[in-house]
Amino acid sequence: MDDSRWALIEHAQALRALAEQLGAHGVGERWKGPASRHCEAQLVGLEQELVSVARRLDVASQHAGVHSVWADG
Amino acid sequence: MSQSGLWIVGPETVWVAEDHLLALQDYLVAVSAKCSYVADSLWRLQPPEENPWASTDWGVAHRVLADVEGCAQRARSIARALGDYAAECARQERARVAHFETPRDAMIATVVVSIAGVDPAGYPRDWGIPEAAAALLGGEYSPQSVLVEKFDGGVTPVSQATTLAERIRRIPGPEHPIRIERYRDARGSLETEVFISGTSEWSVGTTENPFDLEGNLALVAGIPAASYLAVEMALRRSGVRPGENVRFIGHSQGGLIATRMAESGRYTTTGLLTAGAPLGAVSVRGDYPAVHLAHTDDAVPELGGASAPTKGVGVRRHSGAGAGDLAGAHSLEAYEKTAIAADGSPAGGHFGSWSGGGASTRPEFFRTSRVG
Repeated sequence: MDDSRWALIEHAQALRALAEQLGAHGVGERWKGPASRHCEAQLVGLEQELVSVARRLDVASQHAGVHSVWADG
Repeated sequence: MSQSGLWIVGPETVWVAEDHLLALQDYLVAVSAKCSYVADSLWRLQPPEENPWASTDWGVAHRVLADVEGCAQRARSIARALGDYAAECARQERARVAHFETPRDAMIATVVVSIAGVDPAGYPRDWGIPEAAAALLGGEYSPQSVLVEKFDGGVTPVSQATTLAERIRRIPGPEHPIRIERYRDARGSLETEVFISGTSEWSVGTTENPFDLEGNLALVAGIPAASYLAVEMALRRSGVRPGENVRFIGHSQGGLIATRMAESGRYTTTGLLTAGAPLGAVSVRGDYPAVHLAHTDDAVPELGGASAPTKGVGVRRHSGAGAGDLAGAHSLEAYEKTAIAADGSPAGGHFGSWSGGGASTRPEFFRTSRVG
């Protein structure tokens, strides 16, 4: 396995860990109203996006290693 | 996820927010930085030089890279929204002080000054609780001399405290209201921690106890108080010299003494922790970790009057005491619970460093009384 593939796997793990930690955070109990709900929706969106990107990096890593991470030769 | 429900007031009241929200904001900044790092790293994974754009995988990867950068921007954007909310809360807090507390204090001061028949400097609209306190003490006030005695009972050695809660727990009772711990670190330099008790006598200078209401009035007015002098003498008796590193910890009147001493410039202040102290106009201007615990149902912190801008970080929450239980809301036990919550708060990074060096020492206790 080449360095590029390792890098992709590590980055995917890092992004997945960020998403997991983000899910453990909250805006607290006292901030109420539309702005708070909008923020919470954005947080959920960001968390999902991080997971999605991590998954795509995983897929890319499975195709890497022959010539280059990004090129299939 | 636990909800400690701490309300954090930032230095100079530029932001006010619940601790979970602050922790989230900090975390989003970290997410943004990490995503930027990943995007940068991906960018450096170069495709083959010959016709890279012919590669389908490179096209996919380029979109992934763009999405990672998008995550960084989204995280920054949400963090900014949280910051805007905290700044708006702070603006409301400053407005409350300016439009409610300050005029209220001016009115109280005018009434007290009129009754006392003294003439403070400045205009009545600028008067506040310090002028009222000075008027109550009278124009000729000066503190009586105090006697400080070291308590020679059996005292077992302790390790230096490492948390806010441990320090609150070490604030002594009224029998020996001053506790001093001296530590020598691995490099040989000395660090002192002084723990100061609160008011234990509610008369005004009529008993031997300097930790009385007169002490509060003098400290609020910015006049030397007998209790302040007692702590100063205890530090000298312990061998603490001007310029040495000292952490000040105090409850109620002890917190007021701690803050005045921390700001006196006599020592190199390395930390200030107060609980339920009527700080009002007494503010922190130095660069050291300063944390002020105050319960929203504790009347004592309000007695200091309108809060002056301070570099200290405020930690507020309801004490959990029943309605009307003023003593419970002000008790050291209730503040210890709040300190435990602060130690466990996800926003703990805003409180500065409160770790200890691991050294141990034998604490010294002092009792004090007025003389003459």
